[in-house]
Amino acid sequence: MRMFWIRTAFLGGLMLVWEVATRPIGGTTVIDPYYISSPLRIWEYLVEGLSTGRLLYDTAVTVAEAALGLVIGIITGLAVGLAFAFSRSLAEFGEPFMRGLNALPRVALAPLMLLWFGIGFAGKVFIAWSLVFFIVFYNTYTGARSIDPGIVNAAKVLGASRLQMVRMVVLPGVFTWVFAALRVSVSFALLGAIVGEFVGARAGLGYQLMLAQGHLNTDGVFAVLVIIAVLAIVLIELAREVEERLLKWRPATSL
Amino acid sequence: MSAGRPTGIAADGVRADGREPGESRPAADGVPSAATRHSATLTVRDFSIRFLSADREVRAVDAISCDISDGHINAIVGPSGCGKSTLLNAVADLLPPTAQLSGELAVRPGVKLGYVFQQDALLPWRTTLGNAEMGLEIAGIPRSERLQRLEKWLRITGLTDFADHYPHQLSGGMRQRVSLIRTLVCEPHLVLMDEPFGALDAQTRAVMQDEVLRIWRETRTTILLVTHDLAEAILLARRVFVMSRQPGRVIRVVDVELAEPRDVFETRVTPQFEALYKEVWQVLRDQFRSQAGNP
Repeated sequence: MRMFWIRTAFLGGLMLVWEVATRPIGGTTVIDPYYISSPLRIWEYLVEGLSTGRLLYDTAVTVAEAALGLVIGIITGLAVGLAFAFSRSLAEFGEPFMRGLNALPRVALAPLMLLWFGIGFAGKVFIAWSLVFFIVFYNTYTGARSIDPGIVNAAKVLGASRLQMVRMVVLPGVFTWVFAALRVSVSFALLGAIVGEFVGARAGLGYQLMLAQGHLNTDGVFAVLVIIAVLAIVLIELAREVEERLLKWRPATSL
Repeated sequence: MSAGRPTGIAADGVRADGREPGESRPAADGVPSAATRHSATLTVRDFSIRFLSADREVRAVDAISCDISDGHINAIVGPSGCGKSTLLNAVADLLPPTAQLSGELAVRPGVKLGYVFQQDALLPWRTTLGNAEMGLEIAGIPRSERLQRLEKWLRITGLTDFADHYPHQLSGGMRQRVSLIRTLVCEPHLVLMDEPFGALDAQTRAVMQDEVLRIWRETRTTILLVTHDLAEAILLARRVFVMSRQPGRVIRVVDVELAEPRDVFETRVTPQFEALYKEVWQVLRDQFRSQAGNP
């Protein structure tokens, strides 16, 4: 609790110094707010943007893009990962391709995104998906291959069919890995959506960021950054919550 | 070295009385799986296992013969690496495709197998109850009946209060108990045990041995126990098969005549136990010696 107050005081002090530094004192200002804005200006911009609903709408668009990319990424990553884990020949054939595609910086896909999907919603989902897919794919594949052979044998001796083996042993084992990477997946989905909006969009936080920058509106840039930061923190904490709830059977590890 | 060469493999251990059609594992080298008839739960005749890799061939088990009779605990002892676990895995059909089998290995038709591994092999994401009910769940038994059948076993093994615990919250002994009841609740006719208490400390081990004896007296399940612990083999088993070092053969079959009911703590100090222990140790010691002399 004490630490909380220390932190609050630190942040408050920082804001105060920032605010004061941008005010004219005896005809001169220490820093020109044109470049670094000021806490009050950012606050005003935020209040106005949120109360008119404009920034709320953009936030919703970005969250929707990231969420859809995340869900599709998890589903397809799981499916392909399992296919690779079950078929040796497919894995042998496909592994170099996967590695190559994964090595490709996803931002480089942006021109393709514009060509294929235009500047609308779907393109951002595509970029978010392209990031999440490989995280989930590799975690699924590794997870399926690192299942304890002793457990597989035990289930076999208990008479498990192939389907039962998948349901009781393989999937839970794989989910362990996928959920352990959920936080990373969430932040990458958000990253993908925003990067996609940078390249070309009509809405979204990334779009607002580019717009404010284009108008040399430092207040706007900072305001959107604040929203993105809060959003990222909330989403990642949510992912941690889900992760902890689903993996509660794991021993607490302390590193 | 020469101590490992048996003459007339397990001649005293093999019986083939009572006649029943046997389900024979197809022999890989084309030896016709003779329609031998037997009553033993498990019949092993001139059975060999070889592993083939690119550059060499490893003979894991060499022309083993033994009968595992109904309703008894049987033990296989031998130096580590003698192929005794491989033999169990062959019975449970868990060997990799590189294994070449020859001879005959027959489980009597209708015999349901259970297998207790050295490592408890529990699913870490399932509770004690969830792990214990796996076999029943696989068999499609409804949940209410699963719980009903497990209740007794949880009580016997003192796990009732730990039914909701995850494996990492249990001690090694408790985990092995869960593994044990996961197998036993399915009521198998033949339980294979591969060093089931090898990973436990000495005290827990003795307690678990006692528990197995108790459970066996109640169920009279046929048990085939593989161990490197001679005392464990003699204490628990009615018949002990002593194996040579690799390639494993049965070099001695010992019928253990000890006063019943046995008690892990009492039986251990009887002169009969000591005499048997000495007798088998003589045979086994030569195996360890020849092993040490031939890396």
